[in-house]
Amino acid sequence: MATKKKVLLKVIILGDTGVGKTSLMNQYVNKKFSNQYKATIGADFLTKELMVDDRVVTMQIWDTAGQERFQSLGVAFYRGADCCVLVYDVNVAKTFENLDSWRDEFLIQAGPRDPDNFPFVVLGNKIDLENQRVVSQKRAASWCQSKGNIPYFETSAKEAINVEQAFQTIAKNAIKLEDGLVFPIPPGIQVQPEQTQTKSSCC
Amino acid sequence: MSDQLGSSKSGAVDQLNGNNAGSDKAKPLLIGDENNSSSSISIDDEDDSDKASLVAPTIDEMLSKIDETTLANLDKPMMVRKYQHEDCSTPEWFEHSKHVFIFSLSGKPIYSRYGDEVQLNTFMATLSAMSSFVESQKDELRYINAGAFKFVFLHRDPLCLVSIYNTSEPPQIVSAQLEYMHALVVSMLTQTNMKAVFDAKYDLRDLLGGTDKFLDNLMKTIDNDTSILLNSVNCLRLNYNTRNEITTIIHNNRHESVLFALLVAGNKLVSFVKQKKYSLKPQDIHIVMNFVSSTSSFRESETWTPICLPNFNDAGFLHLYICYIMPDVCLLLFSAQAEAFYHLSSSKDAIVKELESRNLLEELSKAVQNHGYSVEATGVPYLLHFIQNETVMVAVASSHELYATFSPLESKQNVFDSFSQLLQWIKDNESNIYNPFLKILKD
Repeated sequence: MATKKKVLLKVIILGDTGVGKTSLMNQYVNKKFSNQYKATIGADFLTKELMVDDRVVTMQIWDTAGQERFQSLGVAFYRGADCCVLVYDVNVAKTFENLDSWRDEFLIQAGPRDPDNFPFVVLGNKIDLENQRVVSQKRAASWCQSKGNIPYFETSAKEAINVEQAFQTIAKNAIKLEDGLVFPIPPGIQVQPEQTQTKSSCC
Repeated sequence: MSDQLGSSKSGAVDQLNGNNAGSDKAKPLLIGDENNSSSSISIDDEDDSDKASLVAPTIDEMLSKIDETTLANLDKPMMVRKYQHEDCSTPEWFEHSKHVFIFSLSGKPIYSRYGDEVQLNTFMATLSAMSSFVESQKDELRYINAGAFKFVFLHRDPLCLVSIYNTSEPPQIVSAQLEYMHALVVSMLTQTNMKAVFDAKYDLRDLLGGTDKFLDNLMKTIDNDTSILLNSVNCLRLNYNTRNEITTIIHNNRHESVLFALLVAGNKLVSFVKQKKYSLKPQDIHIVMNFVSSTSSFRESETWTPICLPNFNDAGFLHLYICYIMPDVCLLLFSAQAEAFYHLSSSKDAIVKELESRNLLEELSKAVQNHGYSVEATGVPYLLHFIQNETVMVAVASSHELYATFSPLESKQNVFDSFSQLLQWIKDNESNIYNPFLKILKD
């Protein structure tokens, strides 16, 4: 807690099981990718420092379990999130169709003050498997537009395509929300009118 | 996590770095002068209850204050804390016997006793996930036993405080220590502001900037001070009549807006005067003494600063006048009036003048140097340690707690005899040991 103002953003990654949430995070933070699938149990946490418009920002990334049986963290998990990242697999239609319920789930659980303007980012992952693709870019983009112009990125955690850019946007949008909340600093502190002091009454 | 803590015992020894963590250069956070401190408390004429009605300062006011402090600090080198470079990737971090973490309910870091809280942000997120998991089952996580270590959680909306330790203290004690840490945070922000800032999704660290030192110091004190354990305050050993005279002088010369007046020597209370309908809990007194003793710049001049007393009223600030009347003796005057500074300053002048004219400062100075009782002084055989606690504010002979330690091999009869002897000694010396702590005076 030094006196310098720091920004720490809580970012939550949601999406169906196996869409590559953990892989995206690992690619972004550790620059590593593994083909082996390992289910996330409960949650996993990673952190990364980055620069956004000359500001040092620390991202605290909450990687969640996509599998329902591991989703047991409840409301507290979503509380105070600065940005929510929705991930789907461009090669599996169901994972795209479920984005709606992930988004709703988040809005219900987190209860942000201004749900219409809460920063989401959508990532269509696994674009390296181009010949298996079932969800078109156009379809995804139009869904994002209908939900209040959510930024959309097509990514590959494996090939490190668009991962850096996506997280940069995530941070930028999350900060915008913080900045929007900055209270104007008044010219001088207003002094409340004082009531007359009770005469001290010691027995 | 627990495995890591347990298995790293063979790691490097604590690394002390040479930086002056307790440097004199530190600038206190909450200092405002009479021009910019907000008026935040008003006492209702009609109100007979013992809670003053407070008006919490707005967040704007808080932020503007912080901003001024930040600006004032721009040209000063940033202070580096001890252990600042450590985190859960360095072996020495696991060597500390009692960690303390404070984070918000959203899992954002606020404070770590050892290491940089930002570097530890995923660690604290993990702790918050553990607590959330239990919370989602409509329960509350309080303790975890993990090998040699214990985890103690304290939930105080919108904060969560956690200690991970391997000392032999029971969780209840550590939990009480975390309560003190929480009270300190409230004393700097007020509960009202803290909630407002949290609800607005602000990073609480912005408002707590530069206050690590207070938390570090309090934790150090808590670890070594039995009076906190007993929910009491240490008093300076002083002649009964001397103390009486001092208290009377403070009482007679204080400005009418003074709610509480305390004279302290280090973390020991010399004298305490209060308005009848208000009272001050030991916890609040400790918070204030910690605040004052953590900031060496208070020694140089009179200070006027807002401070919240969590047990008195956690919704707003009182104004505190701080002045060292002698190198180790500090006068503290609490007022609800933001513009009372000059009145209180004159009160101080009058008090010092009268203390001087009656040679009481000299006596006080002697007492400060000679404080402490040795076990030998009691003349009680077999006794190793003793602690005594006055359980009620107004002294009544039968309302004391006495704790004494003897060798485990001592016979019951010996212990019993010694104990009676100790009681007698305390009775004989009673008037000097404590009691005047709360003197109710006649107007």
